Amino acid sequence: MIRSVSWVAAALCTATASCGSSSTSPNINRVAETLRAEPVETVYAPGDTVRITFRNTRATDIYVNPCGSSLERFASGGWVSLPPDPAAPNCGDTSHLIHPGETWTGSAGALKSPLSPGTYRYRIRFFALPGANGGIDVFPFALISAGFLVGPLATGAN
Amino acid sequence: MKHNQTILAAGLLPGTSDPLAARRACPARLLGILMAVFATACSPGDQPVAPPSSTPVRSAVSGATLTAVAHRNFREQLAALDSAAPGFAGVFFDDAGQLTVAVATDGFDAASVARVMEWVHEYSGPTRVVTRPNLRRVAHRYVELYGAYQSIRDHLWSGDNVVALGIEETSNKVVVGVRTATARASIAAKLPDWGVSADMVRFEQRDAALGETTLNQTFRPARGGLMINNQDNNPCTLGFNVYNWNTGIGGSSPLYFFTAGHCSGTWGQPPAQTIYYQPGNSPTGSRVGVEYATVPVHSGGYCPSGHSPCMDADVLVVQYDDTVSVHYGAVANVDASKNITGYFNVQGTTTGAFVGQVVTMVGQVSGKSTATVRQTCMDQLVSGPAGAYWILCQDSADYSSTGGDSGSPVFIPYTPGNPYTPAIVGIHSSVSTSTGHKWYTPISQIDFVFGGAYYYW
Repeated sequence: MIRSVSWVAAALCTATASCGSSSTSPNINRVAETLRAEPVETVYAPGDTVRITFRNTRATDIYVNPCGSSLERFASGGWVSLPPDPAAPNCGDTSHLIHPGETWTGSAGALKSPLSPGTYRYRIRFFALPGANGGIDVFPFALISAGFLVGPLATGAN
Repeated sequence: MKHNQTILAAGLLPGTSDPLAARRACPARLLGILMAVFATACSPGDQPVAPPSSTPVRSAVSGATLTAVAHRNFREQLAALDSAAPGFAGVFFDDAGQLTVAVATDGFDAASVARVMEWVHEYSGPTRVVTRPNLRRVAHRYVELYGAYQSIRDHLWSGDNVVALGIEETSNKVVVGVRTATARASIAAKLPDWGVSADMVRFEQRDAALGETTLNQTFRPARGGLMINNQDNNPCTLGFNVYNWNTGIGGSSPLYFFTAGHCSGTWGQPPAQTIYYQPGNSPTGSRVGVEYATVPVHSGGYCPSGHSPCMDADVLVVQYDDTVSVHYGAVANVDASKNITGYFNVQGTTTGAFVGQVVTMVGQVSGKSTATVRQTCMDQLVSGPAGAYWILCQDSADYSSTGGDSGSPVFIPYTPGNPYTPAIVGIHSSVSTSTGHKWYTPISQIDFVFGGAYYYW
């Protein structure tokens, strides 16, 4: 989808976990830095469905489910969490297993409409790693997507 | 030590490769006093599976000192009965709770029955007075089974991966619990050399000892709560093991399990040849079955106005491969670390739950948790990896769950004194990210959508 935007974000974060600090532990931040969670598009309009491609560059499996992820907006020099959309669907409580070196693309849901233009990113709701004894260690909202732009549709946009 | 052997044999019962063995075993397990000993192991609730301690059987129950039977364990006493009652093959309570004497001859006369009953009364005490037991014709005399048991016992070796050995009266076989398929094959190949007929032996494969295995590891016999995955790499949780009326109940009939519909990479489509593994895809797990039945998608007026497509349930059915050992009627019980410590018997006569009732959920990621049913039969939109559908009539209870718990069994465990337990309640489906509430498909919807085709009690 081609969109015309009349504005340009001065600083669009493009690297995973590089846009602001995380409230999670340093260890999990380091893990998250080895992953890539990139929106398929760099520009969206309110109401669009955002799909995120996960690239597992680790040596172990990862588990993700982007559905219901928390949307954050860059404002006043920092990232601000937006309240969850009450109209969002329930999320099936599954996850997707991504083997080392593989990629997978899943939907984080539809953006609210209206939504202020700006730079946004997602904190992924479900992110987990293999744990001890074959278990699974879950790190909710620890993995952060690369940033993307949300802007109004220009007249005549597709 | 001989008493220990008796207990060990009984310890085989909860974990079995025979889907109906648990059903048979608990009502049929031994006699009066022994029933008390194993009440914990076979009661429908939280059931530790590890053998009890080495406490002698009778004194463990009554606190009484051992009497004349002390010089022989249960197995030895049954074997000795053959001399007084030729053809005797075992004694147990059947599924209907009827005392049953197994016989391996057509000429088992009334005098023999009387002698067996005399022993029963002596063994189990004066309170258990049954004069007319049922007779069941079987293939092997108990003394023959005992000979086979002794031969196997005498030939075992360190490192053979045998974890249990005993005689099972209900199946009229010697049961050999093995840790691996390789061990099973190895021992099976040696049986002729040991003078043991293969038809006298039933193997029971355990891939790991209980208490050492979590929900995220390989575990057999398969039961609810275990981690599963499919070829689409959507890890979920094994729900309930069930039969299908159309393909038969019990015996060697095919077995199936429920999980969440959205676990399938082809959610909303007719059953694909999606393969399921436990716990994960190769090499970490092994295949357990293939997708068998899915829920049809509706549109238009069937759905809430303006909200289609929709479905009546978020569930799918996987048919087990014949080679997979399955524990029918069981959901894994776990500790806080998700170590499997036993199982919940969920074979109840009641189903479903009302608002205010407390339900339990066992999920492969979150483990075991309980919550109160807070809402019933709500229609709502559920998003899965392969699309989003309105799911009609879901119930809510805020147990702990997260990604990978979809498909988890939701149930009410057995509660002493409550005749409405245990009860199968539903299959975990989804979470509302705005409210945090958890939702499951109630069993009534599953029955409705499949026309009551599945049998689970």
